[in-house]
Formats: sequence, structure tokens, C-alpha cells
Amino acid sequence: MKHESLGIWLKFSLSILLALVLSILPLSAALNWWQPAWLLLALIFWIFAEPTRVGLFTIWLLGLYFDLLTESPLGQHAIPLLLVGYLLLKFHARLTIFPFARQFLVMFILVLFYYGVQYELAHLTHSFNWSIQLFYPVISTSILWIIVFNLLKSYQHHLKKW
Amino acid sequence: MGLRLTVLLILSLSLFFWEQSSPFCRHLRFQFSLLTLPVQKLVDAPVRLVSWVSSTIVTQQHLLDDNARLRANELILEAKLQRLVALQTENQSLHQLLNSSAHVGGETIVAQLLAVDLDPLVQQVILNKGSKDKVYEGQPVLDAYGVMGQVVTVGLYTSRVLLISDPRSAIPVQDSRSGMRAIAVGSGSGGSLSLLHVPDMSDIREGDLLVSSGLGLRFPAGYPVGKVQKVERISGEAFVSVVVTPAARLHKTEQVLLVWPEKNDQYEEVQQQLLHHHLGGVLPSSGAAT
Repeated sequence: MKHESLGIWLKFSLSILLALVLSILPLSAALNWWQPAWLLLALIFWIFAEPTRVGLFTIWLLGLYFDLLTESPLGQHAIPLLLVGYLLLKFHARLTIFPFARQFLVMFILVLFYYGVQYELAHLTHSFNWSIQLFYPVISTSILWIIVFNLLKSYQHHLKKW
Repeated sequence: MGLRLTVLLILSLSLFFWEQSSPFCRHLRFQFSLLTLPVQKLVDAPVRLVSWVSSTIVTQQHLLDDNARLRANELILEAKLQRLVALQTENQSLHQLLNSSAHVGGETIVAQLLAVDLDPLVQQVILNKGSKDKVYEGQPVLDAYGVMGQVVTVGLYTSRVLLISDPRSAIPVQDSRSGMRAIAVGSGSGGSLSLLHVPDMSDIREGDLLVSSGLGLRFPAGYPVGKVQKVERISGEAFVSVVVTPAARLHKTEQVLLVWPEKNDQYEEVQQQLLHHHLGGVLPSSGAAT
């Protein structure tokens, strides 16, 4: 059992590290707005895959670390991650039963909510103009969620072998 | 779990607002950001490796062509340099005639940008020089083409630069053609600047080069800031809307210059005058009567 825990913890850390690295990978100015919320996606995966192990405190700490990494005001990413994390931890069981289309819709709304809260917080510290570009990462993150969804299916299939 | 959420949310929000008003918190934050250095290096290293590989693996013919071109360029620059030395000495003697001190160039070092992408809402970059290299808060940062911004936070090994395109940045500029002065503030992620409070009758045209005016004693004078892209006079408005394209390649530069402006006598002279004024004494006569 200890081996299994260590294996999962290792996979968790590596996937989070990968998410962080991908988040700050320099993209061209044109692509910059399309950068998806890798950390959010990684956390969504792990909340569904191992809900008992991912806690609100971990999510909060990761959010704060992400704020440090991206030179954002402390909490700009932590707070929306907390809110989305809480909702997912509470309702993940019900969500897994949903058909794919409905899950996608729910996820899209959650991602929209995540960015909405983030932009609101950002707006409190410095003003920026509204532009359609603010919407791009919502689209890219939602599309990438489809991959997360498929990864989850194979992960759970792998687990069922036990 | 709901209780945990409430506690963490309250904690987070207080931290968020505390950070805005507390320099101590911001200082603390920069100490903690040393923790993010490994991840940043992890991204920076392969990006730098790829560019190193692509610059190292080059055909011989390409190198020979480059060599010939650079030699030709060098010859032209040497000629220009000779003229420059003559101009400099002429300039210095003219300044002495006008009884003000000549501007001596200050010390500079080259810094590299860490190849990481910050939040697109934020117009900042991270440099690989910090307090260890005597970088200070408010220090001007330039690239080969013009003013890039100023240092806003200094850590031990790295520092954070606010680009001139950020809405929180303001730099005093002067039109190099008409001598008109204004303040250029950033417009955000568009990468352009706009001039504040330019009166309707000002002499400013599209294509004008704007340089730093040196007022505000933060940015050294005479460095290119940008070119006027658009001048819009709206009837009924007292001020003109001016859009400026920055001269510096804000998002393409890899290396920048950090400048220590020489603390020249002109500053001391101003300080002296202010001191005398406050003490109620007579201002020292500065020679030439106007």
C-alpha cells in the first residue's frame, strides 16, 4: 500500500511540475492569449482520479505558488482555484455519471467562472481593457479538458484492474 | 469542507488586499519567489539550449558571408565614431560656455531576460541580475533600440522590470523635432503608449521621434522612447489623443542594458538651489545673466 501511495504522489508531483512548466513556456505574442490553464487542468484530473488525496489546502498552496511564478498578485490564481476546486471536490461523484456532452458543458462553465473570478481580481489591482482575447484561454482550456476526460477514462480503467 | 473553504478564502482575500498596501509584504513575496527560480530555470534552460544549438550549427559559407558583412559594417562604424569623438569634445566645450555640466555617460551592465512568459495581463519581464549585482529599485532598463522600462522589484539574483507599455508606467518624453514635452503612459497588452494631456495647439506630428526628457530624474535623457503613430484631434476635446509605438522591441529582446545614470553636478546644483531657497538665502548667481 505504501508503494502505491508513493507512486501516486510521484505521478501527482510530476504532472503538477509539467503543468507549471507548460504554463510559463514562452509563446509568441499572437499565441500568448491562447495559453490554457494547465494547473487547473492538472488539478481537475487529480480531483477526479484521486479525490481523497487532493485537499483544499494543497490546491490553495499550489495556487499561491502559481501566483509567485507568474508575478501575479497573491490570490489572483489561488482564489479561483480554491472555488473551482471546492465545487469539484463536492460534486465530482455526480459529475462522473453525466454523459460527455453535459460534462463538457459543466466544465466549460467552470472554466469560464475560473477566468471570470481571476479577471475580476486582476481588475482590482490594475485596470486593463476588455477585449475578445480575454476569452481565448477559456476556449483552449475547455478543449484541452476533452483530453483530460479521456485520460481519466483510461486511468480509471487501469485502476479497475485491481 | 465548507468551513475549510471559508477560512482559506478569507485568508486569501486578506493576503490579496494586504499585498496591495504593504511594501513589507511585497519584500517578503520577493524572498519567497526564490522558490520559483527552479521552475523558471527549467523552462529557460531548454529554450536557451535550442537557440544555442541553432546558432552553433551553422554552415561555413554562412559564417564567411557574415564575416564579410560585419567587416564592412565595422569600417563604416569606425568612420562614424571618429566624427562622434569630435562632436563630443565640441559639445563639452559648448556646455562649459553655457555654465552647465556635461552629461557623462553612466555605468552600464548587460542583463538577460529569463525566457519565461508571465501573465499576459501584466507587462513585466524578469532579468537575471539582482541586488547581488547592485541593481536598484527604479533603475532604468534599455535595449539596443530604446527605453524598455524600469526595475520595480529587486531580489538577490533576479529583478522584475515594468515595461513602458504597462498602464502603470509613466515616462517623461520630449519630441525630438519640436521640443514639446509630455508624459508617455502604457496602454497595456497592445504594446503601445499614449501621451497624457497634450494640449490641442501642440506641435506634434505623426512620425515624430520621442526621446526621454530626463525630467523626473529617473530615466537618463536623450534615449529613444518611441515614434508617434497617430495624432487624433477630437473637436470639442481640450486634449489631443496621441498613440506612440515604442522604439524598444519590448517582447522580442533577449538582452537589455541596466544603466546607472551618472550623478552629475546638475542634480547637485538643483539640490543646492532648493536648499538655499528653503533657508531663505539668496540664490547663488550662476554667471550668465539672461
